[in-house]
Amino acid sequence: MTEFEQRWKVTMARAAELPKTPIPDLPPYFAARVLARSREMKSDVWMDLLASLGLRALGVAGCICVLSGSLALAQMYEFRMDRPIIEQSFTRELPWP
Amino acid sequence: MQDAFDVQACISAFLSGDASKAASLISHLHPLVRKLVRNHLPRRESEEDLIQEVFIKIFQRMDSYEARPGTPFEHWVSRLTVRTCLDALRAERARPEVRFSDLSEGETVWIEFLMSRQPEAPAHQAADAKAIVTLLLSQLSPPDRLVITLLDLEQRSTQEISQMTGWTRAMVKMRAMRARAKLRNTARRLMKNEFTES
Repeated sequence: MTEFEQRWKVTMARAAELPKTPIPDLPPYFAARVLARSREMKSDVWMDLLASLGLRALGVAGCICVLSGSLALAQMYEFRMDRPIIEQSFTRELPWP
Repeated sequence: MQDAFDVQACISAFLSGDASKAASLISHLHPLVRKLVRNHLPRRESEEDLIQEVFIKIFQRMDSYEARPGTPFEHWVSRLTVRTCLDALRAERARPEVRFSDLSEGETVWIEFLMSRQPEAPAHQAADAKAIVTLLLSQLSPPDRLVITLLDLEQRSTQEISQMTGWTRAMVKMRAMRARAKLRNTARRLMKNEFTES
């Protein structure tokens, strides 16, 4: 552990000594409000996922698309090796079984 | 002696249509949720709003919760709360600009202590220590801030953090190490500001 990390721990420990603010009561009708809102807002897993991943997910998806596109293009224009001439001549001369 | 609250029975009753159990569940979970939200609250977000958002998510996803032996419902709630806070922290794009001249006298003493300019930790200045910790944490990225708060402030184990965040233990350790290095750099930058400002 570095000196900074030791000193950071001391600072954090001192910060934790601060008396905790008491937990206030919930506002009236909080449960009713939460229930009503949870029913009206349908949980959309995909939207939550997008929100949590954010733009990074779009960036990564874009990179993957570009990468796979360039790989597909590279394969399309790949130099295709023909059979060697000698092999071609042998195969022509071989008797048909 | 107060009877232990039966969470499972309450969840089952709620899922079978007894909406009145929602209030009991909220009262039971409120201290846990508030404590987590307080520790991971973005600067401009209201504590009450974020707590409400957490509870809305809890009730929306209640039917997807599966009770497992040895894993209490509170673990599931903690995980959901931490994720909601992380999303809220991510949504907060701008980080406050920190200048040495903005620090109070007590905060200056703590930053000097952190940068080894003071041999001993200042005595009886918990509020200033808290202020400087909050200030430095606000300069970190949301995941770094989350991991340092959970590890150093809430004193949670890497195993617990791993369960709460879904990151591996190795990832938690690595992130904490990098986050502390960033904290040191931020503190160093603040000290450099002192010279350029004076």
